[in-house]
Amino acid sequence: MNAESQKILIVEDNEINLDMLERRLRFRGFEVDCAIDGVEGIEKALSGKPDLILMDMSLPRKSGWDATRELKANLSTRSIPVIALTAHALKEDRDRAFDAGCDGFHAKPVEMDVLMTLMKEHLAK
Amino acid sequence: MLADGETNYTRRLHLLRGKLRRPHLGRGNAVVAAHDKRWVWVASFAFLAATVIASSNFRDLRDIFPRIIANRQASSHLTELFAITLDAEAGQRGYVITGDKQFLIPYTESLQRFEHAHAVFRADYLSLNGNRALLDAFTVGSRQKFVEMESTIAARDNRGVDAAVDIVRSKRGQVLMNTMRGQVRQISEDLGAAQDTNIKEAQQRGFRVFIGTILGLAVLFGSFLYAHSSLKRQTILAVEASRAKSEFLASMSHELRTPLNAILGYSALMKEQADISGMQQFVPDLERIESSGKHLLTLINSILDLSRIEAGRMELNIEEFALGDLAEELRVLVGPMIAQRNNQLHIALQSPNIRLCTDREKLKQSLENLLSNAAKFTKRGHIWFRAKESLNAGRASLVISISDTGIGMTAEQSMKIFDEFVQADASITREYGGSGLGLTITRRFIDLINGTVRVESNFGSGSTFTVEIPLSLKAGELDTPSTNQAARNCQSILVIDDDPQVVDILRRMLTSEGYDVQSSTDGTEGLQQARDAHPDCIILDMIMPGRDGFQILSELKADPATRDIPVILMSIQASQEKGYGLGAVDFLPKPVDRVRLMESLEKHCPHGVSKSVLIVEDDELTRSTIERSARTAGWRVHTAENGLAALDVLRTVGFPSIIVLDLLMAEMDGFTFLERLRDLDQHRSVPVIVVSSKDITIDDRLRMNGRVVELIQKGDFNLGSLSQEVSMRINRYSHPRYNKA
Repeated sequence: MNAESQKILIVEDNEINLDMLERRLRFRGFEVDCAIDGVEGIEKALSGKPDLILMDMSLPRKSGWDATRELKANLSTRSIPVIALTAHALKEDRDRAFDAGCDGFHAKPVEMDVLMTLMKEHLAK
Repeated sequence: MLADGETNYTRRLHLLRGKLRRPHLGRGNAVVAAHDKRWVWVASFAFLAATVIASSNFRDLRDIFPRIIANRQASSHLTELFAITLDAEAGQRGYVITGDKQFLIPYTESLQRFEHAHAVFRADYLSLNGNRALLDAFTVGSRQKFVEMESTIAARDNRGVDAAVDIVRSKRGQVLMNTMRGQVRQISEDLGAAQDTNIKEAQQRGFRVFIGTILGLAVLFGSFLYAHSSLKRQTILAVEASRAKSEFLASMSHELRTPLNAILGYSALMKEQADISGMQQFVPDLERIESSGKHLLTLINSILDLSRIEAGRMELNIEEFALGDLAEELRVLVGPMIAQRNNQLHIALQSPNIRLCTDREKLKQSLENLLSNAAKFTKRGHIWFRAKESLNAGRASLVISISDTGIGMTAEQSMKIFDEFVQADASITREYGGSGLGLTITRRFIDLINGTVRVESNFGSGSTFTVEIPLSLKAGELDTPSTNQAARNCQSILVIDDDPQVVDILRRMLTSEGYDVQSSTDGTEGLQQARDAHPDCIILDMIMPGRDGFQILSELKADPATRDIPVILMSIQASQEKGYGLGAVDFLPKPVDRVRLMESLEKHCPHGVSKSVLIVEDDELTRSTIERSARTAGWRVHTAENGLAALDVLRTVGFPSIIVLDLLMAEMDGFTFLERLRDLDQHRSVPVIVVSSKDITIDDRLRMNGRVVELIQKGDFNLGSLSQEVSMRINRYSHPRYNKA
């Protein structure tokens, strides 16, 4: 559980879930930055240079799919792994997330062990 | 922040409510149903009315026709009657003038006919409700006319022509005739008017029948059209409703997941923090929240699965995998659950290496459901997971049964166990938990992979769920495994029989089993073919013109190039003793039975299953060297240090594919072993290679009794080359095709 100040950006519009995830990740030693919609997510990705982004898909202002597409189109952010973290749990939703350029997919509710493994995989790259 | 969150939830709740309200199709259906009901009443009434109109008018119409016919008859009778009267009058007049009796003939004839014709007409006319007064007047008038004619004739007869002429001159007859004529006309007109009325009525009735029929048909056709369109509409509605339902469920799943994420997340977070801050007393409660949340998640997932299946949106993901791997994964998956209730899981697979080509995830989930179900309803008992292949209607399938020694079910309970949200009993839910969706999903999944699932259960003594699925869902890969194997190691068989029909039948049988078949209808030619092609097995007919089977068999066995080929004799005669004496491995009576033939081939010429060798050798160094080189060549090896130990091996592990035998050994030598082997293995299915340092005498050869197929003199080799030589020679018996070129 030693992430040594690796920086995670959580983009999530539901503030309860955002708060929960933020605290659980901080508890595991990550440095956490938050954004509550797609536009803010892109801004914080550009300014904060996170090591990994956890992206909700149904977001106000700019959806997670669009935000991911933009991040992956931008040279300065394209290398940041984006894990889709969504309550759209169907197989099509999964495909849709990967089509948008996400590097990983995890359906809510969050299973921390699984999510940690997934994050570590992408952080190690 | 929290207030924002609440607004957020409120917004979602509204969204959810909107979605809940959305499927108004139910109400639409009710309207349609009420409409349908009214329509059925209206249509039924209309059809009934039309039928009544048509049938009553038809009945009237049927009654009118006799009246029309009777009317026509009455008219013609009236005409006849009048004609008779005219005839009579003409006759009477002629007689009065001439006095010739000839003229009286028509008169008397008419007189005779008149009464009868008159009676008939009266009856006709009365039956038609004719004018009775008119009829009576007509009757009186016509009678008077005849009386008048009679009196005129009488006057002529008695008082001469003048008296008669006076009567005629008095014009009384003429008046009577005129009156009659008037009456006839009146009656005629009367009848004509009645007939007109009849015809008019008939036309009217006919028209009404026509209208009623048309109306009835129109109602029927209309009903048909309406029913058709409403069925179509309802189908569309049903499809729409189903789609709306699954859309609704999918969005519900999304909406439920979001708060569930918070519930599960916070309870985990609090558990973690409680651990650090030493508030362990909260941990059990937090765990309860977490496990309830997880249960809720399972439910949501199940409902989602079901809705996807119902909407026909569940896709198959076909992959190839080994059954054994799946069983192992299942063991790990359900292990904790099985251990929790002190149950024991036994896995028995007929062939763990069998490859399945189906949707692995769905099969896994189905079997996991059945296993966890078994574990749930069994305490301190046993759970069996068994699998075997079967050939069902020409299709290779896998039968998996999961049985337990648990509480079981009654017949009534087992009937509805696969229905949604139904558990054997409502009390089950309280005691054992669960949603009642697991088995429904299992059955739907198994349906999707073209399988069946059924249950047998006895109340109080456990249940058995049996799943049968095709081994492969890919077209063209439904071959039986044995055929697959055969195709990989195509064994060649030479059939020698003078009867081309027998050759043809055998060729078909063997080809269908994956053998490569050569044939010959002539003994000499067959012998040459055996030498050239060195088949893996020869099937030889005993009775043939020219060289018969026995001659060929002894020649095959005499030739070093062919004597190792197993020969199966076939004949209509029972002379197997002689055949075995000459070295045949089996004897098949004709006509050849397919099953018997395949059994024999499986024994003497098996498809490339891994072969085993038994090495009987007292010198440990030689034994281990040969063993090593045989193992390197891919053989399963059993060893024995003398004949007695070798017999033990035969008893415990069965016959090997080949035996390598030393002759001089302690306790039991090779010769004695061969004799005992002859008793044990009467069909001579196991070839023996003798490896010996002993000089073989004629006597020794006789004692080996044709049993020994190869003889290797130890003296000719050093240890290394000896083992190589043995290994090479035994390999001939596993890959005979290798030597052919």
